[in-house]
Amino acid sequence: MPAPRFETPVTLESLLAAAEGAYVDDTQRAMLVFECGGALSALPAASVVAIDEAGIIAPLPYPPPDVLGVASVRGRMRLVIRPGGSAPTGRGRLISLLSDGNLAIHVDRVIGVVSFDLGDSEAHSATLQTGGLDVNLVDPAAFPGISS
Amino acid sequence: MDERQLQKHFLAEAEELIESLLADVERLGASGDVGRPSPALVNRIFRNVHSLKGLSGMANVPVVHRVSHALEDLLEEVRMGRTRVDAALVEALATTVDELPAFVRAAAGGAASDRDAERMVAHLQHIRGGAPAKPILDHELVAIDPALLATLTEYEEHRLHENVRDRRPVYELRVAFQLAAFDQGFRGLSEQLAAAGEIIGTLPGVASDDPMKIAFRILYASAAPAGEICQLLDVHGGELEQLSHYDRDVAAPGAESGAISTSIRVDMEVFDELSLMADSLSNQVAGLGAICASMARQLSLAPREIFELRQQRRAIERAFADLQERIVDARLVPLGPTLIRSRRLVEKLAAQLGRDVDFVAEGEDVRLDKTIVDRIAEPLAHLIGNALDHGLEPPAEREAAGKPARGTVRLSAESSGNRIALHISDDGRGVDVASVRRAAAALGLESATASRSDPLDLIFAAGVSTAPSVTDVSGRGVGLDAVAAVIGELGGEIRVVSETGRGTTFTIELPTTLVTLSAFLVEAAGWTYAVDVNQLVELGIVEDGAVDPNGPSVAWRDGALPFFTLSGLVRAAGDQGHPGNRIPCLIARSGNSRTAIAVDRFVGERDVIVKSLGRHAPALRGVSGAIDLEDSGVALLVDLSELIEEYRLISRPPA
Repeated sequence: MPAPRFETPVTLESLLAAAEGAYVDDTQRAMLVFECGGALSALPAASVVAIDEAGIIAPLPYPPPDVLGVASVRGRMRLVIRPGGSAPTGRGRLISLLSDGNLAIHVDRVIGVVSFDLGDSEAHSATLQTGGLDVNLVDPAAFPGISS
Repeated sequence: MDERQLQKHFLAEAEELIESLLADVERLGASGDVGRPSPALVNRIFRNVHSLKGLSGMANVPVVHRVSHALEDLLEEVRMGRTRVDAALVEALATTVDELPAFVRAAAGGAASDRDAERMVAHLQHIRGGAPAKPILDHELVAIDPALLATLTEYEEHRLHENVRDRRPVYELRVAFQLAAFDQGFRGLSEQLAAAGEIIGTLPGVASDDPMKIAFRILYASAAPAGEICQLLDVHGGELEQLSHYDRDVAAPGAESGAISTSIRVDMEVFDELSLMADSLSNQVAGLGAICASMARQLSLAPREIFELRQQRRAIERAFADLQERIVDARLVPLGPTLIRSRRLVEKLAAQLGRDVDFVAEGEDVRLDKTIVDRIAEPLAHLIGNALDHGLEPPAEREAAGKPARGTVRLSAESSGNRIALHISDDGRGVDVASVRRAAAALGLESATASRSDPLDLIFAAGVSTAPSVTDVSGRGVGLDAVAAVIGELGGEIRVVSETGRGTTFTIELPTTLVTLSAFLVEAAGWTYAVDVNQLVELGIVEDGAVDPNGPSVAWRDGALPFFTLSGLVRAAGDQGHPGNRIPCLIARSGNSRTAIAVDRFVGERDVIVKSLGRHAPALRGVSGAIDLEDSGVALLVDLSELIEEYRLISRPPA
């Protein structure tokens, strides 16, 4: 299962710090889980503003790593990122981020929102476990080549 | 309100106050009789400084609070006549106010030092004083009741002296109002009196003839005819007594009325959102039009119904077009404050560098997008710094060259359609092209820039400096490349023309707004692209046989142009080179050179709303934004010059 490429390790703790309000209660955290390039990944549900069917994505002449192109999503231009840089298998979905109004993540399939326990081991891990499967944590602020 | 919002709010409010201060200090300096400025002007400057002090206190920015407090103290001295308004004071005020924008920004971010604040405060304190001792009122000239005189505050007494000194007639007005409605009556009369003169002081009391009335004794100065003042009082049954007895009175001046602001502050992001919403709605209406046409056919509507449907759709389209235009227009601000700041900068640098210079500014009414005005401030300052430091010679050198000792730096702006041109020129020594070439060669830039038709363009390359020495102002070879980069990011272009011994002119062309753009749409490799029409010289169709694949170049008019395909420049998948025998070509401008770029099809020219990619934009080479197409697609707005540059870089064989 290929892991997304990150410049710095990402943990649930750091992700949640960047997405205020991503908690369900004191011990549970809501994460949006999706499938991309055969891997399961997740990001805080509170950092997502919308999920849409992917439309036309205009390719860029000199795209930064992992960037598919530019799409117009609900009247806003968003740079479309494909975590891990794998080729899309179909039309897919675009996850628009609340924290960055000009960024969307292209995924093959959205699994849904899953609550995770905020145990110490999970808070400091780069992956989460659900149903016996590893879920990679995705930090949208740390995509190579485009982070400011 | 969180810390970030508070800081944003503070900066926005402070910026507005400083803009006003800049303009008013400029007015103070420009008023012919500097020693006796308009009290309304001084009071307005005082009030704005006072507001800045309060604002910085509330936002907990102590260094700004300290500086504005010192400014307020100085202005209080001026109001009271204890500090004389002379050129030195105006200079001190102007220098401090000029520094305020950068200082406030740094302070809000916690980056301003106490030392900077102390330096500014010391400068202001140094200038205080210098006015003659408090004058004694000449009772031969003004027969004022000592009881009324005793009620005046220090400021009011100062204003009385100033009016007497100006030989402005002084009156005591007596008027009474019913207690129940005195506030409205008194406010109305005060506004009328203030429009025709100056209310120096007011003493309220109970009317002797009616305990249900409140009476006012108003000390008033005005050059307006006494009959006119009587008419104002007659309405309220008041009376007037002239206290002053001069040999001659002053003529009636134009009243300076305080304009009441009818504007509100709106965050630029709101305008961006409104522009995007209007554009989105406009596109949706266009889509609705297509559905209407289809339904009209399917439902076999009567011709009249079809006509009304079309009329209605067109009316909505026109309304959205108007809305977009109004939103774009609301973003525009005049260049006046930028020109004022430029004048202050020229004066400061001239003193620092020992130059004798006239600064000519033209085009203060030219309006430009607020975002662009903010972004070009630094590039303009850089070019003005260069003009004074490298361009203008010292007075002795100018005279030796047969030129007037006093040089001229000119900053002019003119608008043409949806573009403006800024010209920054000097009548100095001009750019030494040979030294530019040497500097470029020393940096190994000659080969990379060999394609440039004008060697002067080399001065926009990073690291090239022709300054004989490094000064505080310029000469480190850092700057003109950054200037060109900022202009490029704004969708503009910078050119330079120079003549040895005659001077240099930089011309910056910019869009008036970052929101709408006249774009030419083309298709290449199955995608639609938009090009700023200002990058195009003309459109043409070339025959396949005119293309020389070895160049590659294409015969065009009497010469040959470098030839590219757009699909190659954007590295589109499946680029098959140029298609067909008759090739549609964009003839594009890049600096002073031209290039032919083959496309698959011309779509046409359109006014489009360019949508930004926010903070990611700098990472996207060759693309300056994107526009929505009616079919839900996206057309990238491409920067042809940058695409050609990138293409040349990646096509160059390895050394």
